[in-house]
Amino acid sequence: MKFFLFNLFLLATAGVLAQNQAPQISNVTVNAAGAIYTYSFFANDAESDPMEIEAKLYDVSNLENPLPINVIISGDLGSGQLNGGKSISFDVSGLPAVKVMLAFSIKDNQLYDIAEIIAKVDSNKIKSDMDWIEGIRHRTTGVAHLDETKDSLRVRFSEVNNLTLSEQNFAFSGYAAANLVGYRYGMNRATRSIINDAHYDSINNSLGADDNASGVVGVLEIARVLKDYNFEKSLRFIGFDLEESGLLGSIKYVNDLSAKDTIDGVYNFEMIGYYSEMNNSQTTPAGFNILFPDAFAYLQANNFKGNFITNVANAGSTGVASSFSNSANTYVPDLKLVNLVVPGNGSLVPDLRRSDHAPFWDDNVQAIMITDGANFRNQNYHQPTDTKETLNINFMTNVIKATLGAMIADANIIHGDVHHEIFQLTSSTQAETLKGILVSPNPFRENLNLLVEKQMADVKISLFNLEGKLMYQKNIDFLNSGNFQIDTKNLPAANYQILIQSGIRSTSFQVIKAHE
Amino acid sequence: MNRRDFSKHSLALGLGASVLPSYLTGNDFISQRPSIGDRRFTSKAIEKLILKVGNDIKKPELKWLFENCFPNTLDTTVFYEEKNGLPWTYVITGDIEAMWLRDSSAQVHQYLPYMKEDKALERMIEGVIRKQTSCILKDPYANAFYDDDQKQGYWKDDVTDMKPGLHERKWEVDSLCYPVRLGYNYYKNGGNTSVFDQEWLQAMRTIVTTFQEQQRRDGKTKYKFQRNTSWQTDTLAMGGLGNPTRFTGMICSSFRPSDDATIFQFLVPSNLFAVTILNYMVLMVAKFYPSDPLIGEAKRLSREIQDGIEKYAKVRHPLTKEMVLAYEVDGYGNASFMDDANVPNLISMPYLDSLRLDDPVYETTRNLSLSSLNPYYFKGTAGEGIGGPHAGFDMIWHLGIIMRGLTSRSVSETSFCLNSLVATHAGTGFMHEAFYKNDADKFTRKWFAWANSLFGEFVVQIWKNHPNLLVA
Repeated sequence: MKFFLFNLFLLATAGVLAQNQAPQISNVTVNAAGAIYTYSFFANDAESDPMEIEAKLYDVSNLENPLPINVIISGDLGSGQLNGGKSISFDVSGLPAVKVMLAFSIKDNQLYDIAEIIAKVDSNKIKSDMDWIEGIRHRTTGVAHLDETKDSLRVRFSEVNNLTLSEQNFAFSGYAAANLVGYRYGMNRATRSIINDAHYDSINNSLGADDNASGVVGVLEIARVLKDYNFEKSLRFIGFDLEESGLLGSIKYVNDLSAKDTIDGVYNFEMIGYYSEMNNSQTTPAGFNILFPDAFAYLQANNFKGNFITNVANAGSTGVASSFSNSANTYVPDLKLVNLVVPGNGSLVPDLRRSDHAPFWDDNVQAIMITDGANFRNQNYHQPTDTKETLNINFMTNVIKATLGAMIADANIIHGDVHHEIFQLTSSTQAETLKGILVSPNPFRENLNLLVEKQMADVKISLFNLEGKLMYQKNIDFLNSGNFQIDTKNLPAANYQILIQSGIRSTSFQVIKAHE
Repeated sequence: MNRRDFSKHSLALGLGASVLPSYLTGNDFISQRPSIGDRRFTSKAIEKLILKVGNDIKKPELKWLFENCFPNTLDTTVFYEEKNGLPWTYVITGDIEAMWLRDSSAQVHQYLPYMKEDKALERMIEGVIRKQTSCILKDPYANAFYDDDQKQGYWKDDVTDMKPGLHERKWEVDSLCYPVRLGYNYYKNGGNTSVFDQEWLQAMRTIVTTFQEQQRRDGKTKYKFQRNTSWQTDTLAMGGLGNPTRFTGMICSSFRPSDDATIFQFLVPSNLFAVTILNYMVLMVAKFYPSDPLIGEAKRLSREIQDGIEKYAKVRHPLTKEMVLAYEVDGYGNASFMDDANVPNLISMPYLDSLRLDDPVYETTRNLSLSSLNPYYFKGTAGEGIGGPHAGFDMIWHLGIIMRGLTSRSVSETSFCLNSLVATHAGTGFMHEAFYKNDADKFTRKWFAWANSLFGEFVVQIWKNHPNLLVA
């Protein structure tokens, strides 16, 4: 804290305009009338760029596997939208009592400067988080700090970084283990996910700074920076438990994945803090020179200095591996990088399977291990001397930046805002079908006839075109049964969805206005 | 009438006469300003600015709000006169007829840049400084005063060294900070320096001495306050002394800027504010009285407070484990993690020149203030924002939303705050103290000039930095 002269601080806001601002959703209100949910909100873009509005509904009964649901969505949708009040209606008629997620997004046609986002990775925060996580976090000798770490990860995921928290609890030899999963749902491709994970436990006699407080800090920092951005795909941040007991957390996680769950990439942090500029500070597993001659030649030319990060992929994970190396080369040119692609699932080099990426490989999911090389570099590995003072914060910062850039690219960042709402459909929110109204003729030419079987008050008739735009709306009281004509002669000839609502009941079907 | 009583009163009004937004009643935003003859003070420079900014606002409702709010202090709360040829200005808060050192400073702050073009406005503000100087010299522990030195008010029976002329005698560090901030900005904006006379210098000495007393080096204080009340936040624990503190260098504040009692008496935002205004004081005294020993005293005090903050108020949040500023601490290691909407609060620190906007600890603290981890952050269908114990659960303060906007580094957040303010005035055309999170028509304080002034300042800042937000 320093003293600065009069109002110097606020001037900083002027510089912000350099980057085009993403449009924003605000003041969302919902109005439910039976099976129809109407969301009203403001769409605002600082530069008044035209915006595109999209809306989707997902079934999230199974959190990791949101399934798209096709329902009638109408209102202010599509491109060319201008700043102002908007409304979108969802018709959930006929849906079973499932948990659903409503997603709507606005975006303009501008792009983010990715380098500017990556620059938000903050070495002070990395350092500060290393300070509190360091300490024995083992199910026998360090259970208090292990539980404390778990609690703080829960709060950081959910309340600080606005992720939807889900826990996978399991018992191991009297200890209540938990994988902690924070979700940030995407917009149009929410069914596909990018994962960033690290294990948060340590072995029983080590402070576990490099192994693997460094990885956890990386996950927290990426979750923090990405808090303010939205993506087409979903992001998942995972803290795995009991890695040190034999990858128990990640094996459990992968075993429990639903068959339909689609994971497009896993970025596993396994020790990302140790760095050395000393010659011969880097050694290699047996057979490394035969299996990876290019990498070995590089190490040799580099005098076996431990001053690079290793990107370990298997044969099926080259997509994620190249996202990582592209991002590192583009945004963090100072970071030296060694890329390894193990044949098959790495059974030839078991040392490269010693972390939570391996169960993903075995499940044919693309995954990389991002590592400083563990015991092949860090002499404090699994020793009481694995402390934060031995780590290089600048190196960690660079590794985290490279990973962040790769995830932004993989998850398809949206220059805009997404609003999600998860709610449970119950029998009372489910549609009851409105009976007793028939529409004729279909196709119709000038006017549409409604044949009403009994009297009904306050019936709302809406016609939407196939883009979901509301073309006609009228409230009618049917005081008697009989035939009612609605005047639709000004509507262009086209296919329409007609929605008839009365209280909690509604019905809808396709009608066609034919040419004269 | 005290703030609390009035609050209940206007809440009842708000509920009873639910005012429909004018777009529903079909009214064309009719000006809510008093007619020209009924305005308490008129400034040509301010009228010119209202016209200029108003012309650039293309959103009719926002334009109307701005035109009502920006001049509200001048229109309705300023009592200007000349005593022995010198300006003298009594400024009431709005619906409570007394002058708070804090509110009165904040109410006129947004007019300072326009004094250059308007001598009468400059004299009016000089009058505020003169009146505040006399208040500080009368009793540096009091937070609110009357114009009439003999007047006894509703709180005359409070158990403290109460005297005629005082409205209330709650010790709040920020009460003594705001007048220095006003004086400094008056000076920086080219105000006439004759106001910084011997009496003013004496008031500055009184401020430093009072702060030093309230550092409570030995844990003791002569100041005590108790009230016969059912409101726990309107009286002090421990027989009127407040909860115990251990010397840190920071100053005890028995009450918060909300006029609610502190839990731990080292109120951190007020202490940060004190560091800032002591530095202002050093600059001014060095300019006008270059050899005065007060310069050294104020410097030393400022450093002591700052060291105390670094050591005791910057702490690791027990749940998130992030380094943040606590809202209150006591020097024993106890801390409260919250933020209140009344300024100074944690979120307002850059606005008050007390922290940098890009200070990482400030950023983390600000995020916390605006999250579900702040026990006084409320979110409902009518809006979301910071509240506080003063107006109770689920009541969102306009001051909080405005201050979020004034300290935002993101244009979309600024615009979010602006939209939210436009959506929650309950059709009155003015800012209020607080509104119910699910229904902005249920609000407290219909006439709250501080919030109106701060809103006006926010709109002018947007007009300067992001004019496109004012266009539909």
